[in-house]
Amino acid sequence: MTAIFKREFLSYFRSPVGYVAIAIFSFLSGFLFYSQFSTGGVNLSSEINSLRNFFVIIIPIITMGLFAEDKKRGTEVLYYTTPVNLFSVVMGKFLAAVALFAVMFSNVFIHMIVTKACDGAVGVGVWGSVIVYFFMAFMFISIGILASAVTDSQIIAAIFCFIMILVIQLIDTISTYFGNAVTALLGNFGLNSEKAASVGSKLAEGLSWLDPFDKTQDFRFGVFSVSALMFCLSVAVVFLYLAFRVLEKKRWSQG
Amino acid sequence: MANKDNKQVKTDNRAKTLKFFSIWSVIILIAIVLLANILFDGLLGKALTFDFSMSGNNSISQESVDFINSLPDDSNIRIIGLLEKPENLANSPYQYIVPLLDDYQAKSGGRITVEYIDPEKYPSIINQLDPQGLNDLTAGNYVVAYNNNLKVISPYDCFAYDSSQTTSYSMVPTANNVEYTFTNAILQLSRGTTFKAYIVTGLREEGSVYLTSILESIGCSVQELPVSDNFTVPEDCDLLIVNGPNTDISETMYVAMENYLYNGGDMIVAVNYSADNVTEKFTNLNNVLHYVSLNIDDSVIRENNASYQLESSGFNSLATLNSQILSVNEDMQNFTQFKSSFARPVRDFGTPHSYIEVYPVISTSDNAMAVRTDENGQTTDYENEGTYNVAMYGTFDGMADPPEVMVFGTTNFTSDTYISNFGFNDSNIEFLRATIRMLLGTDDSDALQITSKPLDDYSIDQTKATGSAQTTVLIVFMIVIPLGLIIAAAVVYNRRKNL
Repeated sequence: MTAIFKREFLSYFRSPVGYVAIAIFSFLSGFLFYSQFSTGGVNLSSEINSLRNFFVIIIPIITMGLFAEDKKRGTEVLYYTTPVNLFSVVMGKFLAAVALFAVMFSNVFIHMIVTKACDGAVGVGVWGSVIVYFFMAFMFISIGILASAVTDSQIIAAIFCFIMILVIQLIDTISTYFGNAVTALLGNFGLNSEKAASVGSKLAEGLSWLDPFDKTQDFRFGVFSVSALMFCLSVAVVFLYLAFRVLEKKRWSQG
Repeated sequence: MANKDNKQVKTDNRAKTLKFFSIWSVIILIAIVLLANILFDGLLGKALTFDFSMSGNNSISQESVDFINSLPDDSNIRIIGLLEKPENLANSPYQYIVPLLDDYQAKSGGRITVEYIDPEKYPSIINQLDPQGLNDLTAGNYVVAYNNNLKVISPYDCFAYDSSQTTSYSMVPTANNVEYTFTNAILQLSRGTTFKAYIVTGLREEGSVYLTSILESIGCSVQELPVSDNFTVPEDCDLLIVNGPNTDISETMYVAMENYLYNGGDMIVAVNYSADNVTEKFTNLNNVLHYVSLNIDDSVIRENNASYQLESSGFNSLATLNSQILSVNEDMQNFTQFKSSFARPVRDFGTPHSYIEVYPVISTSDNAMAVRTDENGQTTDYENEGTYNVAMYGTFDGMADPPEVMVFGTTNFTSDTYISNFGFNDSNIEFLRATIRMLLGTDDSDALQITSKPLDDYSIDQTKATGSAQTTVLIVFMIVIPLGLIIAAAVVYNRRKNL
């Protein structure tokens, strides 16, 4: 796993992908930081939370080639022919992507130093936001890895990953629309409007339970919830396992 | 041939088994993860949520926890937010309310439930909570319901604001009083009101929103008593308050108030010396106070002792507790210093009755002076240097139910401006509470001391974040670093494109 991690991590810097991803992240975080700095108040939690909105762009860029590139070149066969556990392969690539994320995030640590140097606040809420940021990165990177594992086209992998992350980011809005649609539908079937609204809002509530942004929103205020982190981590495990199963399938279907 | 067919069948079976295993292992894993998360969230979610914020903005204090746990186990306190549960809390008052209410529910042992019901979706909730329509159940407000009684709380009531920056367009919050507001609402609903306080209105005074909140937290039901031609003090009045008048009371009011004191009434009077009342002598109000031998002068105290001054003009200064009041109320020994601004001197009028007892309560240094100014703030007259009283207390000796009057020469103890700026934990405000309890004859053993919490402050030092520093930040973080990386990407691409 260590060898795969090293190879994948360094490969980001042997191609323009790693540099471009970090450049985009640096520009976006720099813009967010400067827009606060110039107004005389810096809320780093707010900056980090805003950066989460760019997962939808950055994650597909850094994960699209993880397996799709190997498949395109035909080097994936090495994973099946060498005595290496496929799950280690998945984990190695996953950790490499996470490490690239950590490198990107060093921008924010520099912002913290600047803020502190200007007597600004780097409180527990900021560290809460950092923790959430990484746990959500775990989750979204695992989705990107699955997307990359199911296709040999980097573009398709990126689009698949983009759509998945977008749906998760919009799950709150989707659940509200879904709840309203159910309410309207039940109302049309003649159900009492309050009962229909109750059913609609329960369904919307159920759907929005899956929203990781909602679960983790209090971290920025210094309120840490273990269950929210567990949710992100367990979703990451599910997607990594799915990616592993997709690769494993190829191993025995080739046989 | 037959052997070959058998082999083929064997291979197919293994593939099927692996496929079967693969699908079911994924389904089982998803089911386990889903179930584990639901159970964990439901059973341990609250217990494994920790508030690490420095100010504890998201957690209720031990004082509130102890009070809630002192309520009967079968208590059913409903806190209903008349809105959809806000999802995006950042930069709204709800960022301090929603997590704190969750904490109330988590730590109440089932006594408190927090619900969010949008009256636009469920209009019947309004009628259900308040069939007679007595309360302002506007969407966005919170309702605390207990023992068939309601208390409506607007999110904006939960904060103190910097009144010097309050305009019709913006309010600058200075402190978080969410816990203070909700715990006191529960306290009020659980204990009911024991006393009735009336605040006289219509004397061009400032509002008494915060004073009302303080009175309610002590168990007073508060009502306004407007100025009128046939002004009378209601019989159920336990405490009459004249807070920051800018005009004198009428002759009718003087008679009614003196009659109230004659019947053993208790009273708090707070005046100050401001541009709105420099020429006001409060003749009729003083006539009422003369009943207990107190008088408010038509001048302003100027503190000349530099160690007492809060600013060089001497009109904003510190004042100290006068030890003579400790013979009336020993509990006041907990107080030492107070902030006094534009205070009128309060003095013993010298009413010649031996049963009248007058006590100085808060006094200046020995180097203060009383001056008069005109409407432009120019000093026109002054008295000798000495000690002046900012607050005095008057009562009768040897009576079963004597009148009791506390007079403050400054509104620093009662005004909305002061309380909103300094919060509910300020020494002046604590002293006001002690005074109200003393006048009402209630002990403070069951009083709750819920402190205001500081709001998050993200400001940076403007002497360090100068214009040139901002330009440097802009250039380094938005141009130099991204551009450097793009150049590196181009170099790498160029070198490796033919590999």
